[in-house]
Amino acid sequence: MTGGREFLRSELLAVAAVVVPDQRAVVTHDPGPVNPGVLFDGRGPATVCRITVETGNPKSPDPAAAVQAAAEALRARGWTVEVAPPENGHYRVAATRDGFDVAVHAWATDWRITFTGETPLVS
Amino acid sequence: MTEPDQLAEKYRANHELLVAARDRLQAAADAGTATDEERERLATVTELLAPVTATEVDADGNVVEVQRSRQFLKVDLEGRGRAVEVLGDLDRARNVGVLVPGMGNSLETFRGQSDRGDLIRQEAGPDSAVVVWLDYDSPQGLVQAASKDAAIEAGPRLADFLTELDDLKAPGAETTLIAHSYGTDVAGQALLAGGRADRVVMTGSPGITKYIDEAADFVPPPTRLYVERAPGDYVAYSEWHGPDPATFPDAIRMATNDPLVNDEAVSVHWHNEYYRTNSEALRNIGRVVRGDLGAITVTDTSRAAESKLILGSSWGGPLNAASRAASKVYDGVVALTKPSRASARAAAGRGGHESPGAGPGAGAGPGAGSGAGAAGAAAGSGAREGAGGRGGGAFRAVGKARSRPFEGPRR
Repeated sequence: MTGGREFLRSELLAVAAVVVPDQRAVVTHDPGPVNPGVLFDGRGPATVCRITVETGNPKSPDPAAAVQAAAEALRARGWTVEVAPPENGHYRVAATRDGFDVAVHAWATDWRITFTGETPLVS
Repeated sequence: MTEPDQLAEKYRANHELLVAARDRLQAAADAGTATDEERERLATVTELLAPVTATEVDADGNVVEVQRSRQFLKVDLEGRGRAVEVLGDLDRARNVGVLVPGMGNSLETFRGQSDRGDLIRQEAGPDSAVVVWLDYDSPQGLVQAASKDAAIEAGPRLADFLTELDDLKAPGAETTLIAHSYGTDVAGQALLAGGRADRVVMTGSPGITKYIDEAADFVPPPTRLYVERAPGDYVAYSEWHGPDPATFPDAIRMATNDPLVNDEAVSVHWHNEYYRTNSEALRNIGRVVRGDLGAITVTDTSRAAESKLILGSSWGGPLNAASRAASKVYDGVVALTKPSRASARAAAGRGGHESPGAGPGAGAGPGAGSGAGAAGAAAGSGAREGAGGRGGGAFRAVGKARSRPFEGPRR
């Protein structure tokens, strides 16, 4: 799982850098393996790593353009991408690649763009 | 003290408690006197003390990394341990989710629950905070989980916490109680004990009590109950503790999979996938927390249709019979629930109508999954619309409409 975690983090940081090139993306969540898929809720071996990276353009946020840019950057890196229709100020991209899942969120009420990814489930 | 001061004081006090525990456990480890359990607890406490990272904007308009301590409203290091953690700015959030985990949890598993809370907060948006509430002795096995004792003991405490939360959160902020699995038993007992939230979400519930078969029995208006049951969720099918809330006629059954878009990669099945990134199940939970109720997608797939996982044959009946048997049988039940995801997706797409309160295996009907667009017309009165449209206060329908009139998100 370590390799997957490293790969995911590097992908998220790379895409964030493409979307907002003049800001430094920050890893805000990377707790290590967790166990969401075990039989009884919390108990069991760790099976997934989840990482969140944040960036944004505080001076002139444009969430619609940000998620489009994220979608293009992900596609260029081999991800299968789906851009969801805007939902009351919520802009979202869903991407998958080799069992990895990534969600990109941007909001009309916030300058932040968040990139959250999960490693493939280890059974 | 003001609300921010109260919060800061609580956070500080619990941080100090963790520091003291870490120092005590570290001293024992250094002296070679720590037990294995103490060493494990030391690792847990050390992790709970690790700062979290966030982003802010500096004076020049640049995104900068900031670190702060985790925000605990409660930490109890006795026994299996308990914790109540705040993710986000509780005193400024307009929407607050309270997550109640299910069985098998302890302080040592809190990382996963905190991670789940973080996922919910991301889905709910920037004006949201999530409280992860693990202030009860979560059952550690099936024998314990067969009993409602832990839920009955915890319910009043959760009710008290919801009251306390009213003083800690911003005025006017709305609260959504989110519970998974055995946590739904705890949430149910809290509501029966007078606990109040603006909205309630239950995922993978084994039932509340034997005599509760509709939301009105324990969720007082104007609060609405939102329920998720994924295809193949054997815990929900088991109805171990009471009728499945997904069959309650006055609950809003949210979709866990969205057949309207090609999201096969994030399909949700079984008991523990409701909080998967990009899943419709998690998206709907986020919509509820942020009050975006018109964007919720709903479903009405039947248990029997969901259960057709192996070559079209239903194992729902045997599954339910076995699930009601002694806890030792449960391992065998689990073995029954290992068909492929592909077959589960196929079953999820077929759907069917299930009469409220129908017994195991009842009410299967073909073609429900194709009726999203027709659902709005079937529901009538404009309260529910087909998937292609949006409207204030309306739901997007996924699957076949119920025959009863569909009520809007608020009454």
